[in-house]
Amino acid sequence: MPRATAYSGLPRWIAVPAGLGVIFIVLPLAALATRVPWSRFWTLVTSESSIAALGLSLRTSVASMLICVVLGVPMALLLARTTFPGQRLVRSLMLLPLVLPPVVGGIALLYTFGRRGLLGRSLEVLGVQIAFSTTAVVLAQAFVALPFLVVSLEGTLRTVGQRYEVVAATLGGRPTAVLLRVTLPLVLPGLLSGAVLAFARSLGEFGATLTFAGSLQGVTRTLPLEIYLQRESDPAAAVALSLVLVAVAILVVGLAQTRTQP
Amino acid sequence: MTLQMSATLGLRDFEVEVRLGDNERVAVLGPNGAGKSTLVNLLAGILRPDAGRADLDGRVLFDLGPGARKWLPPHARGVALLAQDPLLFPHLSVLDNVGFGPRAAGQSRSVARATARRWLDEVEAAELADRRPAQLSGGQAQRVAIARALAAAPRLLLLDEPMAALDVGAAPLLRRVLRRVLTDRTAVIVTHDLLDALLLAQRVVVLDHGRIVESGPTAEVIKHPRTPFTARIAGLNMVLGRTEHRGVRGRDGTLVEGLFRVDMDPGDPAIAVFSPSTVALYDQPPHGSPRNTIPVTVTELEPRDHEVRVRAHTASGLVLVADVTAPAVGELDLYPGKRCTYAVKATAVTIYPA
Repeated sequence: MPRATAYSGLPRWIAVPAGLGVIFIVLPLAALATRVPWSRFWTLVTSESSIAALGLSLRTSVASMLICVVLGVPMALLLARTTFPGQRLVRSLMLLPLVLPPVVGGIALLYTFGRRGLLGRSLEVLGVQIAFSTTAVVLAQAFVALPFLVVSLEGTLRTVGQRYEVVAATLGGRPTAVLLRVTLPLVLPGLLSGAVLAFARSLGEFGATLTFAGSLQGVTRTLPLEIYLQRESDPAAAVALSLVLVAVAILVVGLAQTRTQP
Repeated sequence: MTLQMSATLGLRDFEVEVRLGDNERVAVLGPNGAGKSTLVNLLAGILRPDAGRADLDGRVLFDLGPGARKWLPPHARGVALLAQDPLLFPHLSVLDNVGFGPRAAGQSRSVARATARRWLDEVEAAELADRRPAQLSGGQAQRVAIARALAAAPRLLLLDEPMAALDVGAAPLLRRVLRRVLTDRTAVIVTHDLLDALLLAQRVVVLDHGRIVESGPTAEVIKHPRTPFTARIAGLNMVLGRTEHRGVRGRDGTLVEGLFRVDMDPGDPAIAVFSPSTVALYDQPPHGSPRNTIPVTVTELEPRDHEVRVRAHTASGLVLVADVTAPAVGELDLYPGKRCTYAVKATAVTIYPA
């Protein structure tokens, strides 16, 4: 839609560092594109190991995103709509995976679900082994991706406010009905963009996955792990696969943008 | 439907007791921050009082205090709230907005929609059924919000300044609709508009600082206000003080003579009121006049339809208002800061016990 140009009030020189920032992001991507072995591109990205890694990445990222939605929506609701003792602490802890080095997350998960971990021992008694399995990949991804969904949705919930929910309650709406018929539809854009962000973060997960799930082709070797591995043996293949991830990332970000800007 | 409520809320220094008879509508007036919205929110169940009890038709809404811990959540109260902002659910059509209450009460989608259509008809908005809230004007949205509130079949209707956000053009239709749908209903109407109180409610309650400072039949309260706030919205000048001779000696020393509504003893607390249109302005105190003369200093001149409203204060700060014609303003050369004299005939002043 054409917009009237309004006076921005910004000094002109602001455009210089801003432009540098844009170049800083775009230039490496362009550099990557220049190194793509276009003649072998298709063969490289359709090799058995590549397909296996891409398929695994997509499957695990979807699973991780679903876990984030199932756990993250209630978390965001409680953080945004209620007050309880220790809320600030809980919120800070929930954000920890955002700033924690993923390797540390991976080690932490290992000491929780690993064979000798906090829960791992009991799980092993039940015949369940999580570490170094596809489940571990999903857990590692969900661990680092959950805060993205919670933060995004909590922000949307606060922006939308509680006024509609109050009206719905005075019209006789029970809490569950109000949640399903009013709250969630109202925050749907935020929920979708949060889910997309969680998916994207899961797709790019590397450190925690490698530490906690290892790198077993078809089982735990996701696309980022495959790229890292290929870089040692066949840099051209690594570049080609990187481009695939960049394409998926662009798609995902584009999707999130259109959803959040109705 | 009858309502009784008494509640205290320490945090907001609120302590109020109200009673509504069957099909009685009460207008709640009061300055900003007086506790009007607190009252409404307590009844709706959005706020919880520290102590108090409320029942609607014998059903307990809340009973809190020593030994009592009963609290009905908003959705179980049968109390619908209509606020200044229509707050139609933006993701639902107008029809489904109005059908929200019936659906919440367990009606099927088709029955709820039929109910919704009936209420849309009632508020003269049938043709809006398929629109989205974003496609409505402010007045249309507020009418739909009324239909939505009524479709929920509330026992008590709370209106929190329902017309405050509307433009002047949309208000008359909404007022007419409200007047019609409120007949035979129990309602609490928060307003700052005297006209709404007169048209929609039989009784008025005036709140100030979390307390009821005045209440009574609307017409009576407006004619004989007891607080400066009520006098101001009733458009009357008020002198609060004690009786002396044939008038009231205000706390500031101003003496106003007038007609006593009831016999009073000298020194009784009393109120004198007079309309701004009965005030005449003079450059110099008029001599030999049987009128009340009050020396004042002009603070503000505000043009109104065919007149100019003069706001002036006495030496001790009592604000008194006069309505004069525009030519008179010119002849007297009025301007803020000018000293002049108000003159009011004693027969234009009503005096009654405070």
